[in-house]
Amino acid sequence: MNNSAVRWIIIIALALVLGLLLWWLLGARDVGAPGETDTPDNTTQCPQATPEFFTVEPVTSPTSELTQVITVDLGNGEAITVTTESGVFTAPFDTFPKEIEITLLPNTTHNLTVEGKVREVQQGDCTYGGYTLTTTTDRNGAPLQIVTGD
Amino acid sequence: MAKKKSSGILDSISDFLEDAFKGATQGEPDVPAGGAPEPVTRRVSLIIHNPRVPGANNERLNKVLAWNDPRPLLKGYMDDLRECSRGYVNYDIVERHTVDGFPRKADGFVYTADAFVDAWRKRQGFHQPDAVDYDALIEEFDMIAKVNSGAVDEFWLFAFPYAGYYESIMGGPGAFWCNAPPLTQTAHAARRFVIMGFNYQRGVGEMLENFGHRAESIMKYAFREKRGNDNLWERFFRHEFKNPGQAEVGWMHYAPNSERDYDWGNKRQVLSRWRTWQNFPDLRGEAQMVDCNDWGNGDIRLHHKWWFNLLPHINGAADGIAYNWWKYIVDPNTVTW
Repeated sequence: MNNSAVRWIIIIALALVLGLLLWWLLGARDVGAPGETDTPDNTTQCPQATPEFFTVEPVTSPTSELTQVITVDLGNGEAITVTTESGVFTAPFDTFPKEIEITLLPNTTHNLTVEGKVREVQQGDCTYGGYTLTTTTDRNGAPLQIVTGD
Repeated sequence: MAKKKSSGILDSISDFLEDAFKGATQGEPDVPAGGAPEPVTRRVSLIIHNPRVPGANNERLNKVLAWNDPRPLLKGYMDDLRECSRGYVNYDIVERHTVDGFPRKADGFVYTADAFVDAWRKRQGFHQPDAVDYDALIEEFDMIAKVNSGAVDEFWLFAFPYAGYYESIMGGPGAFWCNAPPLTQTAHAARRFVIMGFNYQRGVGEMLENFGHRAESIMKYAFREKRGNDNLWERFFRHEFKNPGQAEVGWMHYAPNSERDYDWGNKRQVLSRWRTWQNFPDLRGEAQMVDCNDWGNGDIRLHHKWWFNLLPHINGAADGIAYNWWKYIVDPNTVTW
């Protein structure tokens, strides 16, 4: 082998090693790690936030009434939805806390699911909110269940 | 076992290079797994901003707005972390300050108590930008001197919603992302420290979430040099939504089967290998069908305790990383630079 060929082999080998080193150091991979926002360049770091507070006051049960006011509080709220055996009740979150009147069926056990839609907000390059929180328990952890009699 | 050799020529070369540079990039010598690490005590300076409200008979803000007493929250938080770390993490509150006032915002704004209560009741009128002036807090509470003398290891700020705190932030030399950009202006301190930001409107579950995001940031940094299967942290936080068919434990916002943030009460069944982490560093084992029954059916505190319980917590080390991840999370000075 002549000197020129050896020189080319060394250059190619060095380039290969350099390339592998760069690959190892930069290691571009889709890790989807907590703390990263899925931006096109995947470089924005946004602080992760705890969910907004979301509480439902205890309900009255048993009851002979065929309506009941459900009291819900939600941080940065947009809308509240109560789903139960008697129907689906939705209202904007425009008072604090929000009181939603629902109708009830006679002689029925109503199991309430309350959903709170959190408003989406932009803080710099980071987006927060835009999600829905759901609960089937009141602020004390008791089931949101209303039993109606005659 | 924890250290799974990568497959493929590129991974093999990566392993070779990583091993060759291990001495320069990682500080933990390999030690066989086994036994519980010696408990550590971390000294805490507690700073509670809980102003009196003139328009409400000078009652404290938390009473006026029916928010929580910070004391039971602190007890629950410290007890939970001690329990989940198997007695390893012990926080000792060595000083506490209850401040009759509001912390200054970064732009110099300071709420008055009556104005804040009015804004809360209307849910509008909160000051923007919201961020607190960390420099002012660092100076007022002499944080650098306390860190340098060893009197305090970390600081816990406790306040109301819209206080402008990050849930956690790191200062000191070589400080890195800790669910917030590092306090680079504190690089002259003798060592790294964390400032937590808690909210007494919320519960212990949310405090644990603050700590969990701190844990995620620190573990991501601790494993920053690891690639592929050698990055056990990336394996730990896999969940079905992001890694279909490869779920392990997940992270704070995503349980193994979550379909959106905070979806800890999802009843759908997915395959997950979370149970294998109970036998760390032996991570062999088949995936099993799991659902929210395993982590508290949607309860934030129960989910987070479940998650913390699965963090590796034993003596030993491999690949330059300790088998006790709590070590890094509670003391960021143990993370190699």
